[in-house]
Amino acid sequence: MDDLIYDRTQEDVDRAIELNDKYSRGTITAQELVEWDNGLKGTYNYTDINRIEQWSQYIAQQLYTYGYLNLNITVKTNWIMSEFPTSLEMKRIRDNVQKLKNAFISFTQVPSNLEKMTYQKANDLEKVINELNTLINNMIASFYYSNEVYSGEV
Amino acid sequence: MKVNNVVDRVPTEVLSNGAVRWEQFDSSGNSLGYVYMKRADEPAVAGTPINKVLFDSIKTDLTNLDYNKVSTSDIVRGTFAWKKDSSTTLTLNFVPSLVIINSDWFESTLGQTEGSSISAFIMSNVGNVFKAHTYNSSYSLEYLSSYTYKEPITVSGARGIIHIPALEVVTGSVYSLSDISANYIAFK
Repeated sequence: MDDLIYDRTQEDVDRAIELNDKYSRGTITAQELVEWDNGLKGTYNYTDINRIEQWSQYIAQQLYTYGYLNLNITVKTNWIMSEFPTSLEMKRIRDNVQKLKNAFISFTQVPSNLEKMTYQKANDLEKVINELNTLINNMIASFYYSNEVYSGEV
Repeated sequence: MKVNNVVDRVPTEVLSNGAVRWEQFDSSGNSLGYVYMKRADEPAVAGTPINKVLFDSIKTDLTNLDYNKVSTSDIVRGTFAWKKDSSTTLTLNFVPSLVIINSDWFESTLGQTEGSSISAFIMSNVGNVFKAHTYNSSYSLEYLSSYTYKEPITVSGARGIIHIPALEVVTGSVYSLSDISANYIAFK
């Protein structure tokens, strides 16, 4: 899975707007076109949605593996460029992350909705997933194993 | 202390390599600072983590225990020849709580005249004394109790010896001209 992205800034957004304008006016340079094609952090693309869907599926499976609720979340991990998610699908994606957070713990709040997506909302969504992943791994790291400790020792 | 819902501790101070933070103290209780520790060896066997999954699985197993369900390991069953002229001994090697003996012969012989279906002898352990009752699914106890065998069917001893007398009655009219095949089932 691709690394989660939760450090988008206003500069990233401004840069995306700038390159988009240049592309529209036909003044974009070859170098900028490569940057634009590689996916700009200040934009929100199908690749971002696929990443969140894949991670949501993974975290849900991890939680189930380690004894938490079987969330049975619905995901779609094969979004393509020509597909545009409806507001209902964006709500599902948002609600999936909320379900994951509710089943475990994270410090960041899940955005209340994904209408009028902002870079902050995009960051928070993936930050929650990153915290869940980190904390689940922390939990796993602190497990004791049978025969390592005895009753009353720790 | 009763814990209804086991949850795992979720630490916040864990290094990216999985080392967990601990704090050291001297004998006076003064902090000597933090250390990060993780297991340094590669185990030959990964082992079972002592965690929510383990406790939940135990809880599930205990919750699902059906005390009315008899495990097959608690049952011994078999077939024996109930002899016409001599007694038979069956050895269970445990003290049963219940022994049931039945035979098609009961059905065919007793049933022919009275229309009964299945008959069996049931011996239950009451204070380590086994009493042989006659039983008939269609007719009352009085029907079979009208047949008195020369010797009782008994279970005795720690090895669970079942004594089967010869097929000979002193009252009643049930007779067998030959050995019969019978079944027994004993519950621990």
